[in-house]
Amino acid sequence: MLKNEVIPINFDRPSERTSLSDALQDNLNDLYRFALRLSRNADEAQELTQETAARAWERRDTIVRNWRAWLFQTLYHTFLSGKRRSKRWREDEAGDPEMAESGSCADPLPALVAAEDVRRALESLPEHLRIVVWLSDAEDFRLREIATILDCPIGTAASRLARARSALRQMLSVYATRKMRKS
Amino acid sequence: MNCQEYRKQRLLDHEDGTLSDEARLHLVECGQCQMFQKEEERLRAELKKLANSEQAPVALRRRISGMVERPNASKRRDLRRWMAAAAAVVLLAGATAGILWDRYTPSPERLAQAFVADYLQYLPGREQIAADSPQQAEEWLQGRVDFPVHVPTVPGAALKTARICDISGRKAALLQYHHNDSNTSISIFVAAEPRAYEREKMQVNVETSGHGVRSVLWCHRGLVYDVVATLNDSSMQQIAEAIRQQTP
Repeated sequence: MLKNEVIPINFDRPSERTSLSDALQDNLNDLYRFALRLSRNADEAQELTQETAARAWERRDTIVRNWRAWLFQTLYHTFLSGKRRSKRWREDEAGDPEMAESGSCADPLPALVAAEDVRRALESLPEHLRIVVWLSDAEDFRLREIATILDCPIGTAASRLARARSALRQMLSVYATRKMRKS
Repeated sequence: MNCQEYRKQRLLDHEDGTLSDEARLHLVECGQCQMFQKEEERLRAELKKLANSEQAPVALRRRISGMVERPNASKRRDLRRWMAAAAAVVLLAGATAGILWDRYTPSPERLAQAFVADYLQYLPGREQIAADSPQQAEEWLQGRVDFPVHVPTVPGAALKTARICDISGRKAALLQYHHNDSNTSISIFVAAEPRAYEREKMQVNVETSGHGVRSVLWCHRGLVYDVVATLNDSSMQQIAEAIRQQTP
């Protein structure tokens, strides 16, 4: 079992001269993609990204060491606020019925992987696994940053990352097998 | 070192940017883990490829650019803020006379709603600290708010952060805890009790719920306390009672 560790949040030490305006422009694609992973809907992802930018802009006097992580954290909190307020968010924690969280680590990736299969497999993951693997492998956040963004212990983030990768490999392998049988 | 240990350690070693000597040695000797690492790197590459194929819509980019690059709008907003500040000064002058102040003191129900709204819309703020202990949080809060804050121990929950927030125009201390069983957060707000409550000798004990969130608010010795969380009624009462017993 990986050791849990609480990561301190300290927004009081400025070390970057980047303004929030620059950070928003530079990270807009990344934020939108993260919003897509959370909402799994393009229209709602746009709304979420825009609301995040507005909320972040209201807090633009905040002194922040890591704008990018702060923006992602803000987006995640905005998403959670929306979930608490709106009954129309339904988190599909069950995920794909064929996915086993403790799937085999040995599932090899198919030789050719279609982008659509990757998206489908990703969206089939339960939210808490989907967002960790996205933040790590697509957005290059370190585990410490992911733990801060999601407000969870670093051990939990690491465990979820391992499980998510395993589940993705398993699903991509299943999709490839099905395609071979059809052809 | 076996394969399972290697793969667990690789996650953390990768986090630190270095691989331990033991892990390196295992990788050199283990064909399965070499294959595993290659598969992980391929998966990462596929996720990056997916990421690169997704761009924020142009219209979204324009709207956000417009929002952050409007100096005139910013000036108008600053002017409104100045006017609001000036109005606040006038109000404060009225408060000294004891005439206008009472009209703007929120009722306990309104105050509870404001605490819940902050809970729902919480964003990382400028004044915040990760608190390892109640004592550390108390030391940090001292001087940042003009009332003493005793940071309670909440049964079944761990203190995570302390921060300053603005509730209905008043500074409040917000203590955030992580509730272990439900894996949710509990917010405890502490603020100075409005003078109107003391003057009118109001017995303040307000329980509200809405949007899946419950709030239990009460006053004790010149301070307002509010527990806000998405827990059931029984848990909320237990927490509130535990805090009441600990507050001096």
